[in-house]
Amino acid sequence: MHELSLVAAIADHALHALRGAGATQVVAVDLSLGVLSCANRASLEFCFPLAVRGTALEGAELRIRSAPLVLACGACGRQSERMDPVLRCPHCDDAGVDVISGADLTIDSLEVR
Amino acid sequence: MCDTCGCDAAGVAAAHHDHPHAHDHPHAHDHHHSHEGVRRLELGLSVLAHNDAHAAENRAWLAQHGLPMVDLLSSPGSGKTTLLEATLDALRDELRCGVIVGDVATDRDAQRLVGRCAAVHAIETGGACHLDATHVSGLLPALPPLDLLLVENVGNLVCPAAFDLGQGLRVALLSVTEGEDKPLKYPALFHRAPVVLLTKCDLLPHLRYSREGAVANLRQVRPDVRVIELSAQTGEGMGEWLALLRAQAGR
Repeated sequence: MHELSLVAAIADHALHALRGAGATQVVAVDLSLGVLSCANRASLEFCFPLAVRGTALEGAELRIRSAPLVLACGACGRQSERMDPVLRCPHCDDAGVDVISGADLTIDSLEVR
Repeated sequence: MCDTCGCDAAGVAAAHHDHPHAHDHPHAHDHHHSHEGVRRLELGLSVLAHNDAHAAENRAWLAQHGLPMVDLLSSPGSGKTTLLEATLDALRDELRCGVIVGDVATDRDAQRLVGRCAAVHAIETGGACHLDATHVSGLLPALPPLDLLLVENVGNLVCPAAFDLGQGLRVALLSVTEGEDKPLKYPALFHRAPVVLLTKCDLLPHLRYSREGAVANLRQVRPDVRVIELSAQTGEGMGEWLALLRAQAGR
């Protein structure tokens, strides 16, 4: 479980962005959690309030969107999305796929005031 | 939960030091509309961008010094240290090897490797479940001249996968006693390992184990995975593994 490290990094990025925007309070944080990221949603939700206590993020809503695995198939040329971690084209079943996205935990946006 | 995990990222501490004293800005004019003044900042930022930046620096340093780094990942007890003992003994007269050993507590694994290679560094993470790029960057300048740097990551099939160290190659170990389905249960880690070692193969006669099943599961999450079956105890399969390391070191 490294989710406390992750929410600490989220808080760092958010506070940096907050200062840059001249705002004082983070109201909400929107995350994308990729199928092949190494983080657990429940653990992130558990750790977040602990990591942001006493900061400008305290009380902020954490919204986590599940991001699909986006694959580009080298055989049939099609792009596909899947929610299971299987590296295979759902159209032609070929394994020659490139991961376009879905391996990361990303901060999409913040709501601030 | 690993409660000290956050201490290394400067995040928790910084988060508590950086708060901009919101209580000094009451914004009394906003009180009747709580959503007034809320605006959205688009970031599109990887949470691990900070670690990734350090990993990129490590990668550049290693390239500049012509030093290949191999990161070994696995669950606890899959045979990383035993494999390293056999590996270092076999390469002792050929390559100058260094090892970085990460453990949550104790330097027992590192002690097993001392005297078998040119440099052994133990990192006690003090509770953290993984090594991160800053653990490695602190050690690189202190290393003696080496041909190969091996990292024994903290035994864990989840967290270490998220933290790029700057390695050239990631190798996962999967001992045959762990069964065939670990790659599907921990896809993020096995997806990130282009080479997987099936370890403890000398125990196969005692197990109900499907080699084909294990390889098929590995290919689900990493279709181009290279699988090497070995036993550090008997030496079976070690030749292929050692050849891979020699190739990493340009031999």
